[in-house]
Amino acid sequence: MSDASPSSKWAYRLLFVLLVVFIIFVRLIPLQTTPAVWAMPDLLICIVFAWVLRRPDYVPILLIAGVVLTLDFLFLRPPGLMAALVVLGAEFLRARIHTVRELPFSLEWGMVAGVITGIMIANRIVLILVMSPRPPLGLSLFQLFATLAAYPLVVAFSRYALGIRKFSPGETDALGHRI
Amino acid sequence: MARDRNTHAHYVRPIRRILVGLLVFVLLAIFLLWRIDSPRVERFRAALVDRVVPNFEWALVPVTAASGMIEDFRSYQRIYQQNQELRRDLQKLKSWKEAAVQLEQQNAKLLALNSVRLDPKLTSVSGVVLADSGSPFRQSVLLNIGRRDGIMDGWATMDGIGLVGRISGVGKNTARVILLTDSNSRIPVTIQPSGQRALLVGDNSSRPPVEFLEKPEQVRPGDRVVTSGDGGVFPAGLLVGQVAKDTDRRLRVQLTADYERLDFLRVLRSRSYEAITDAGALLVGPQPDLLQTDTTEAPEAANE
Repeated sequence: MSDASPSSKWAYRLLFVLLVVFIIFVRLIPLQTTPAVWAMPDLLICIVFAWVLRRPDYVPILLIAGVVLTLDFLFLRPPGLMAALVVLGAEFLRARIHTVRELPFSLEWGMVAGVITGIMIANRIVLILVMSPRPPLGLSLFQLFATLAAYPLVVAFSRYALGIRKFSPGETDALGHRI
Repeated sequence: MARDRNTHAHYVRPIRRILVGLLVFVLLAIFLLWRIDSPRVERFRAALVDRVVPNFEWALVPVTAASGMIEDFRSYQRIYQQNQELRRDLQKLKSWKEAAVQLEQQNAKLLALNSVRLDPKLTSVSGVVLADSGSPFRQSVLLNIGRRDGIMDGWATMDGIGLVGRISGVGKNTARVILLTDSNSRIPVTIQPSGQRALLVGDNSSRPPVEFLEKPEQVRPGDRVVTSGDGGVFPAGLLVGQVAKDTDRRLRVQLTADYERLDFLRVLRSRSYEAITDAGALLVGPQPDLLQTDTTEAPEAANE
């Protein structure tokens, strides 16, 4: 994937959108209408963060914001809050791409785990501040841990199935800038 | 690499930071708007869901059906057992049917004696479940009927026998049903035979608790729970479920509707009832000058 040509960039952006559509589809299938005691991991956050750390040009910030906002609306979450937090988290990670590039995966995982945990906590705090109803704590914690556990799988999937890997130092983009 | 980062950063990064800040600001503004003017944003949400989800219908329905088939297939493995159970049930039901027929005749006689005027029959619209809420924190399903079919907010939704929830959020082609198990669901109920009023409060568990009960000691596990019609949202007398006692001695309701398999739901058309607002005017005996005035003016005259 050393060629960062514009066409492959757009192909990956399209792929990202297709993945999101697939996630929406899977979560909307009315298979379980009784209340669940466990929660699915939030795969979208994993994909966004894994891709931002590897190929930030595949997931531009506006695309992230638009996608998470749409999911906020579709999944009956408070609209905008999660989107804002994910954008902030992605931006935080994007600013540290150069550091993460040299880290082993376990440290990267730890860093992403910290960001995701921070997002969940901030989400809850804001909901408390505006006195909005909050999801049950146990279920939220379960979802958090499931999301953290899913991150390596998402990274492995992105890398081996979709061919998204980290930049090697000194790589350039289409215009010859160093990334 | 530090040098590289700096040269690149000089002009790009500040602009980028401003734009991202602006984006986050816009998103938070949407969130605040939702918090302040929830109905408007929720209407937008309903419209968006209405636009997006029916596009999945071609795939959602077959996948749901296929998974249902797989589950059915699994249940074939214990078909003999089921057959035995069904035979036993059938035997029991026959005796119940006998009892029901007798009661129906008795009821008809008594009603004729009383000449009671019952609620006119409720009519209903049936819809197919398209999708669920997509989140483990919210319990709701999306039906494929909407404003086009005359569905309105607040109407009761039932499966074959029991109450399932109520309509909340109507788009042109879709309507969302908030299930009784959702943590936002509050339904006024009556517990029979003691006739006590209570609220069924959804708490994201499959057996919602009963709250605001005046005399819990009069309620036994197994009592029937029906809607009370208080608040004028629901028609009275829709079957909800049976009382069950939890391990922590809380009263909960075992719902009658089969939440495991919600596929077709009936939405009951509620008519707006005539509301009686005042407690009635002062009763005055017939007076000569009042008798000549129009009858519609008489109560006002009596008020003065």
